[in-house]
Amino acid sequence: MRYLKLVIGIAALLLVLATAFVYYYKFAGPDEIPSKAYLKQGVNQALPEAKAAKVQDRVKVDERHLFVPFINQEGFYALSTWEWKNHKWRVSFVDTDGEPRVWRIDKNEPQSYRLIWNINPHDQVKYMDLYLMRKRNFVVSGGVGAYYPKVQMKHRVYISKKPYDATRLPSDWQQVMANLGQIGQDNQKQILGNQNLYMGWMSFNNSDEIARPNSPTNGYGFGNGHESIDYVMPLDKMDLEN
Amino acid sequence: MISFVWPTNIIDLITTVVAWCAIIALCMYLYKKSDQKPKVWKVILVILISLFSFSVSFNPGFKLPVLPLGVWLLYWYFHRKMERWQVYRKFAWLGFGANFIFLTFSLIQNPLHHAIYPQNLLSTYISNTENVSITAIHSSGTSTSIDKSLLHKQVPAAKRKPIDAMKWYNQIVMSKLDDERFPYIIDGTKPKWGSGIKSVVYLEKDGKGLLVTTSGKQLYFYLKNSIIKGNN
Repeated sequence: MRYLKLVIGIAALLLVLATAFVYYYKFAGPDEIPSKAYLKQGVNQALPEAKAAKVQDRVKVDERHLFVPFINQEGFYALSTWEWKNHKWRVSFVDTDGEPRVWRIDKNEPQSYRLIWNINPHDQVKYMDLYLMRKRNFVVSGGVGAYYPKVQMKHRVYISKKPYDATRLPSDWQQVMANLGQIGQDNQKQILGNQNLYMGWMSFNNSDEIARPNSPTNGYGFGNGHESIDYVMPLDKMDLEN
Repeated sequence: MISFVWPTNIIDLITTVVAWCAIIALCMYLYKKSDQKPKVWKVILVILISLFSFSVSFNPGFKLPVLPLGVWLLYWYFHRKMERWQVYRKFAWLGFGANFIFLTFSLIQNPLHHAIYPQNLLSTYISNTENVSITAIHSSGTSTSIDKSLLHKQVPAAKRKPIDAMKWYNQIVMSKLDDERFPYIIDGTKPKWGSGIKSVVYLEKDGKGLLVTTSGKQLYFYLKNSIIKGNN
C-alpha cells in the first residue's frame, strides 16, 4: 500500500509528459516562417530534379500552410506548398510546371481552397481566365427526366501585375459550390468530386489571343500523398460557350 | 473534426422518439404487472438481445422480422431454469415485438412526411423569400437581381410542369447560340423547416421557370410573371 502513492505519482508524471509531448508535436503552432534558404533546400531535397534556384515569395495561406513559388535553374516558374506538421515545416507538393492548380487545404470547406499558379510574365501571357465548369447533362429513367444546366463561371486574373498567387476562390464560385455540394450523394460534401464540377483555365497575350506559358517539356513533381492539389484543365475556345 | 449535425427531418425524429416511448411504456407496464421483480439491467439486456431477429426484405423497401433469433437464444440460455424463464419471457417477446413497432412507425414516416410537406408544392422547397438572390452560373445569365416580393406572391399557386429533359438538352446543343436555359441559381431558398429536404433551385433565363433539384428528383414550376428585375 505504501507503494500506491509512488505509483500514482509516477503515473501522473507520465501523463503530464505524454500530454506535453502530444501538444508539442500535434498542436503547437509554428513560431515563424522559415527562411528562403531553408525552403529552397527543402524543395531540392524532396525533388532534386526541381533544381530550385530562387524562392520568389513565402505566402502564408493559413496558420499551418505556405505557398512558395520559385524559379528553377532552367528559368521555369514553379510551385511548392508547405505544411506545419509534427513541429516542423515540411514540403507537401512541388511541380516544375507552374500552370494553375486548385489546392484544397480542407476538402470540406470551399473557403479554404486556393487557386495557385506561377507564370513567367515574360512568357507573353498577359492575363488568364479561370473557369468553374460543369457539363450540361440530362438523365431519363423510368419515364422521369432530370436536366442539369451547364455551369461556366469566369474569373479573370492579370499575370503581368503579379506572376504568382494563391488566391481564394471568387465568392460566387463558393456560393455555387456550397449550393451544389449540399445535395451530393451519401451526404458527403465532396464539393468537386460528386457534382461533376471541375475547373479550367485559358491564358491570353497582349493582343487578346490565346497564348500558353512556356512549360518544361519534362515536368517534375513531388507529392506527399495526402495533400489535395488538383488539376485545372487547360481549355480552348471549343470548350466554352460565349 | 467531428461535427454534430442537428437532425433536420423532424418527422423522422418524432416517429423514432414516439416508437421508443411506446416500447418503454410497455416495458414499464409489464414490469409493474410481474409478481417477481427481476433486476432492471437484466430486463434491459433481455429486451436488447431479443431485438435481434431474422428479417425478410420486401420490395417497397422494408424488412419484416420473421424469426425471433434473440428470443430463441435466450430460451436456449434459460431452458434449464424454467422458473427464471417465466419471469423474463414476456420481456423477450416485447423485445421481438419492438421490431414491429419500429417497422410500423417507419412505414408511416413517408406518408406523414408527404402530408405535412407536400412534394408537389413549390412552397415546400421555398419557404422563405427574405434572403433570396440570384447567382449567374453561365455567361448567358446577364441579370443580377430578382423581385423578392413578386416571387413570394407567386410561390403558393405555382403550377408544376413536366420536365422535358432530353428536349431541353438537344435544343441547346443543336442551336447555334451559346445559351443556357437555366443560367441562374437562386440562393437562400430554404425548404420548409423540419422537412430535412435539401434542394438547389435553378432559374430559367426568362425569369419564370424554376427547376428544383433535390437528392431524389427534380421538379419544374412555371410562374406567370418573371421575377427578374427589369424583365417585366
